[in-house]
Amino acid sequence: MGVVTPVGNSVPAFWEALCVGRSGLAPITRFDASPYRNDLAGEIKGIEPGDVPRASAYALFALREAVRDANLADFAGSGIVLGSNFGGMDAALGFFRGTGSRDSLSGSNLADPVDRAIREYGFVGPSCCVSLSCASGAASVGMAYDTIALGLADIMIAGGFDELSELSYAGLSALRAITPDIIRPFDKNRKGTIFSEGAGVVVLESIESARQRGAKIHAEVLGHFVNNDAYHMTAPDKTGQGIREVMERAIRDAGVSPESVDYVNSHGTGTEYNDRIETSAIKQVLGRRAHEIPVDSIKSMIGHMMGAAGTVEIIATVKTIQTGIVPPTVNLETPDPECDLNYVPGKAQTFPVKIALSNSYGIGGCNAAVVLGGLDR
Amino acid sequence: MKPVGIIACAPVSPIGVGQEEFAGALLADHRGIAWSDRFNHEVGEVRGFDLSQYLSTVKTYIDRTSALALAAMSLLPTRKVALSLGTQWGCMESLETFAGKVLSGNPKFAPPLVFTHSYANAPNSLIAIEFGSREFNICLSCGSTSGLVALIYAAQQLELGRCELIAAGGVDSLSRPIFEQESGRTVPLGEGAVLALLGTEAAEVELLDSYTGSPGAGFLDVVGQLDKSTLFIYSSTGLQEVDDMVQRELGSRIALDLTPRMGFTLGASGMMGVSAAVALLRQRKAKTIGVVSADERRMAAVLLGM
Repeated sequence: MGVVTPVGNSVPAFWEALCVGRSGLAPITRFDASPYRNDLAGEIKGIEPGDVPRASAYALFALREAVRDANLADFAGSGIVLGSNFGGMDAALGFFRGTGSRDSLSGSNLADPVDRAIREYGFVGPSCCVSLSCASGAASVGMAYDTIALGLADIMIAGGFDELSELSYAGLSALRAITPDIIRPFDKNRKGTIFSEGAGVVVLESIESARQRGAKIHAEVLGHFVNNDAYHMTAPDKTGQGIREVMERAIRDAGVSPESVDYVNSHGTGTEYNDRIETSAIKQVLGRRAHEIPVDSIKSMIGHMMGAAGTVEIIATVKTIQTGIVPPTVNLETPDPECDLNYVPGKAQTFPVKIALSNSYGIGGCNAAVVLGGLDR
Repeated sequence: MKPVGIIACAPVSPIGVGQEEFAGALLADHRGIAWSDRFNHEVGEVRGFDLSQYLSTVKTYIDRTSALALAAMSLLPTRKVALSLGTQWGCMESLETFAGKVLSGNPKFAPPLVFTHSYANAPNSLIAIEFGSREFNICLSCGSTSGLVALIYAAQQLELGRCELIAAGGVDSLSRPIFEQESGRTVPLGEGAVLALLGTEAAEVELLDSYTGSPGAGFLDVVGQLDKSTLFIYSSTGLQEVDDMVQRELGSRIALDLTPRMGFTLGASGMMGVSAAVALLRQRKAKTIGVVSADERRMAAVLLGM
């Protein structure tokens, strides 16, 4: 596993920050945010992209950590699927400003880091980019899982990436998705989300291949699903039917029961509707179990990493499965009667987790859910 | 892979809209490339395209990429189904419009509607909303192989049992940014959308085998059912490195190049090949036909048969 996040550019640094509830959100330095709803965001520090579009540089940085962690040296037969909401938006902005070269739009192409990774590592298997808005990072893990499940590759790289750019920030601000306050998932006074950037990458491998190779196996992907609310381009479906169905289908795909789910890493954006609708849907899917288990939002610390969010949250979920530590939802100070689950407010909790669900949703009604399990379940 | 039936095919192309019109134009060797005052160049546009001819609902704003995809979907016999859609560039026309507002000096008032329609997944979302499908839904982007890869991933979803019917295909539209970005190609550009309806039941035309991966992997060996006589449909990309590579792999087995007929239709190009293959198979011109799509980094191929 590998990450580039506002709280650290390695999995150990990222995890340590989550466990102590440290926020990586700070005033934006990259552009003048004064016209917009908030100047807070989760910027990446310590990575110099050089000539590479920043979004791609983040993806490649996380990929290198994941490859080291998996102790991979032979990439023959491996493929790669990365997910992104926007790709290299600053390259696009340069093109539209007329400050980039005539072909500078290529840096914004969603497949740019996939192509760069192929050049760097020589992956010869299936390669693709998934774009499902802010569910992209989770959907990429699902697609890579499918590729292995069908025997088309033994090893697949999967991940998500995105960069903060004024172009996308202006749109997200215009949509009023950004809070004028701080991000407070599930709090009664929540007013919206805070966006951030970065990447998360995982190496998926068939259990058989990983064991033969003597690889360290962190956890198992048990199943997934992606769907669409089929409701509205921006407004959430207040019935939560789409997100309920995506969870149900992912749990069914995993071959486990709703009662066996021990933890939900929620989408938890901190918007008024998302948190209420997601809570209701979790309760409908998991029944009484929803009240017995932790449901947190790490976006409260790292912000909403857009296309990277799904993979980064899957990586946090894997760490929870491994350690039994559930990171907190920070800034949750005033309970909302309509959000009545254990959101792990303020401080990390310990809870034995064998099976976990990670939720990701995006603009346009895109939904993804991934079910993960520990090896000793 | 298990054979997958191609139940219907719906192209919206520079040579015709709908499988019947497309097939007729293909067999009559009609060309869809013409001079465009908008681009000051010869291109393969879907001329006279008007989404209101295909949908009863009124759209206050729609990106051309989304409109082409919606029109293709409207032509399928069943529309409330799962979806796997590929696009190379997504909705660049809307992104350019939105960027213009952001750069105009008053970014606070940039229009959120145009922004949401600039997402690559906007066609997927609009199709799901229009036809009321909460089924499996994914948007893929992998250069000009996008459409064919989306078709292959759709077939995999059928194999995995996640759906019984799935619409799959590719879409890209021509806009100023795309035209400038892709100006290095030595062939005319084209646009269009193709969606095919796939199912697990037997159909007149079946998807027999598929391959996605590096061109260096020897894809002809991977597509197991191919024999030396299988002919291919290709859309030349106008990138010498890519076209030379395909020429090396396939040589005289390329029986039909669609680009001279409709321009290079980017992420839809592989699916234009599928529509052409369906037309030729139905005419009993061959028993099996391969369709290949390639870019600098990857190749996708499918084998279709009766």
